[in-house]
Amino acid sequence: MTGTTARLSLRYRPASDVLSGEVDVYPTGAEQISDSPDTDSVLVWSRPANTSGTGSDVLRSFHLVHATARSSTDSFRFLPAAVSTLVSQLMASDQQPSLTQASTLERVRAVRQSTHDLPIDSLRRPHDLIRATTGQSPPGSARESRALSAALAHLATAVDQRSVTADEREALRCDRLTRCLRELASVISNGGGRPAPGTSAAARAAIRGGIPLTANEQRTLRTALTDIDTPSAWRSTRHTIETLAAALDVPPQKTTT
Amino acid sequence: MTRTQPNRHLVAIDEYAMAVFREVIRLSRRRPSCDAEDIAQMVTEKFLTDADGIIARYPNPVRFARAAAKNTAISHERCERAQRGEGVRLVDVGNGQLAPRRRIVSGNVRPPDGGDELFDTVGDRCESFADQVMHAQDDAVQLERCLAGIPPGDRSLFMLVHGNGHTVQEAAVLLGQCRETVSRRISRIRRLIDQNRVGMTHNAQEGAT
Repeated sequence: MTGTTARLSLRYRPASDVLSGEVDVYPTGAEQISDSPDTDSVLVWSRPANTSGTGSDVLRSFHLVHATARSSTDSFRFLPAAVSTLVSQLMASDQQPSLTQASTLERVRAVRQSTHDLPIDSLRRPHDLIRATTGQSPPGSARESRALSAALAHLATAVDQRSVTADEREALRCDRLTRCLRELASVISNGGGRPAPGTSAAARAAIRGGIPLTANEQRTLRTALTDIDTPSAWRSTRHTIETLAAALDVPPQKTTT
Repeated sequence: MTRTQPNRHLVAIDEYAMAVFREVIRLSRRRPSCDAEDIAQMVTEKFLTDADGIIARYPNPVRFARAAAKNTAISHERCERAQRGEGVRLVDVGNGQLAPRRRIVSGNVRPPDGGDELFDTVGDRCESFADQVMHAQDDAVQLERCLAGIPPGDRSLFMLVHGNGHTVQEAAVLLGQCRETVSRRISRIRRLIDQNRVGMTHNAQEGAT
């Protein structure tokens, strides 16, 4: 396969922030290996029949959920470098129609796509991912993921109840944060103990001015949402989130930022 | 009038739809990416047909996505198979030859245990007119026996699909029901007809002895 090229098709849906890609050529008789390092990403590799080990794997297709949100944190390190560059270019060049300019249906259907002819060698599995998949932390237990999910849902409700602003823009920001927290809660609950770095990155991006949290609370929440990407730290993260939610349940004494 | 600031309700529907799309993509990890996106888009469009009602029933978009994705994926696969020409039944077209086509029970299909065709929808041009009329009357009686005990609504549905040649999807649209419901109803009617045919054969054998 060395020296040959394959056509890579990339599709990015800006409204739902979903990125997918597909390679049209893969070795005949190759074994298909699905790799899902977390709940927000799926990568399918082709392993030629006469080889063994991950070093010869060639990218076949992939899905990334919350692609833009997570691009700032891990820069798609699990994708081959050539693909990662093309993906960044595709997402950067996208001009998403605003909510007032297009209906939800139009926004769902809006796709930005590009095709590229790349050498097969540039589509091989990166060594970073090989190390990450062999040395990654074990998934969290079902009990721990349920407890963490409940803590996140509690926090979302607490933030929602604290929001009493009449300002439409601030209310929208608060809604955005609570929706992200609830989505993260559901995804972790159903994720089989795997983290959701894309969804947690989206939740972190929703923490900004105008939400009913003090600067200190925002910092604590941001840290907790970073730690949540490591299943081995879920116990302490849950404790932090529960403490924050309990504090938010108490009515504030003064105007929050 | 141009709206400059989206309202909370509009944003809530929009973000719910996008969360549904994302969850279906997460669920479709074993499918090719284009199929996963098609299924996700179908589920999201299904949500948008009754957004407020679905949000009231499923406050959590992830739960709705999980509930809707399975059936939508099955429908998508069936649709794909039909477009590829797969899934049609092999029907005996005479002289021992089989051909892929839709089986029409009310037409000139042969019974599974062999023998003559059960119903002739097309008259034999070699026959005299009087014989054609007699055969048509016999067929009408047999058809009526086959459909005995089937409610009028189900009978209309069956004739719509197997008599008039509408597809199940077209019949579903005409009746205002989903395709899966109509498909289940037709399967149930087929079972009843099969029972009636077994009864008819049994009675005929008893009459002969």
